[in-house]
This record gives sequence, structure tokens and C-alpha cells, in this order.
Amino acid sequence: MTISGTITLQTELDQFERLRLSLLDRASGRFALVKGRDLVDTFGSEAEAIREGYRRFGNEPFLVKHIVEADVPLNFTSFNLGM
Amino acid sequence: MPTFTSTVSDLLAAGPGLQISVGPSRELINALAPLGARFASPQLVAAVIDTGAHSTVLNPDVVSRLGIKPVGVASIVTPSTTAALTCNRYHINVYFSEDFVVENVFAIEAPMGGVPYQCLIGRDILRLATFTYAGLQNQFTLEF
Repeated sequence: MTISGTITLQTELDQFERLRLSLLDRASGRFALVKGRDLVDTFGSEAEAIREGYRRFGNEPFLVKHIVEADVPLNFTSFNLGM
Repeated sequence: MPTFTSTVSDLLAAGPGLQISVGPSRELINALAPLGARFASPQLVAAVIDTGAHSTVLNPDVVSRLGIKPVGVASIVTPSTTAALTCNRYHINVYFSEDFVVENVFAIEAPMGGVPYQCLIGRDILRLATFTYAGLQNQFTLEF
């Protein structure tokens, strides 16, 4: 389920899910940089992946994603959010 | 260390709110400024310190004004949702004053629920600071 029904990075997310198992085998704990259907590379830190994403793509959408078995949702007990 | 103290007439009603500015992240500026790219100036927003928020949150309107693009997604759970929601994630700078900024913050995009704020300052920023809520004095302090 998404907030707006459309996530800008859906193509990248789908590609990451296709690759997740193979990435877990060879790059568990690292951060994947995905643009469109292309896995650019994996990085040791999120900051490195972001830096490379901006260097390659500028101010365009790209996905940086932690390579883990399952995503743990962030916890918001706040009632300030409208959802 | 920078310290921000605010006294309000009714802290219970208003909450620990403050005016801050948010802008593109240092990483984005460093990557694109040498190429002559132009960015939106930091935008003044009404924010509230929210210990119930895991991360910094921006209203979609603020994201739109900044003209920045997502660099990821985040799954979140809230008190009113039964399943995790997926939100866009952005890389920003948070300016508390002209000479103090928290750089390269990952903020999620989500609508506010009828509150007069465009930004929640979450525990990702609070982990860098000491937050004191002095209810008896209608005062709060954020010390980095």
C-alpha cells in the first residue's frame, strides 16, 4: 500500500525485489543503487550510494536500498500524520 | 553547541513548534553546483518536534516547492494504519538558523493530518540533540 497510490520509484523497487535474493548472496548489508531497471552497483554505506546517484543522475529519481532479507517498517506513533 | 529555546503562551496546546528552513542536501548541492545547476532556495516551514516520529517528515507541498526528487522509499506504520505504507524518501538539509544546519537528512514525504505544520522533526534529528520540554515554564529547548 502506498500513500498516494503512485510511487515514483516503482520500477526501481520492482527491479530490486527481482534481484533481492541474488544481492543477498553477494552483497548482504550493503546498499544498492538502482535506476530504472539497472542495478548500478552496491556500496558500503548509504551516503556513498547517494553520492554516486547524484553524480551519475543529478536531481533525478533513483533508488538507494539496503540489502537485507526483509524491510522493517519505521515506527510512527505520531498523530500529526494525516494517515 | 547551538541551543534553541522557545517560550510559548500555551505549550500544551501549541506543542514544541518552531520555524526552520529545509533545502536540498549538501550531497546534491556538491554534486550539481559545479555543473552550474540551479536549486530552489531553502524553504521556510512550520515544524514541530515530534518524538513519535521515527524520521523527519515533509508535507508533499514542501517537497514540490523544493523541486527535489526521491532517492528511496520507506515503509512506515502509524497508529491508524493496519498495514505498512510506502512513502517516498528525500535527501535534505535542515536549517535551524543561519549558522546551524543538519545536513544530509533522509526525510519521508507524507501529508499532515490537519495540523498547522509542514514538517515533523523526528527522532533521526533528535538523536543528535538534547530536547528539554519544560511544561511548567511553557518552554522547550533543543540543544545540539
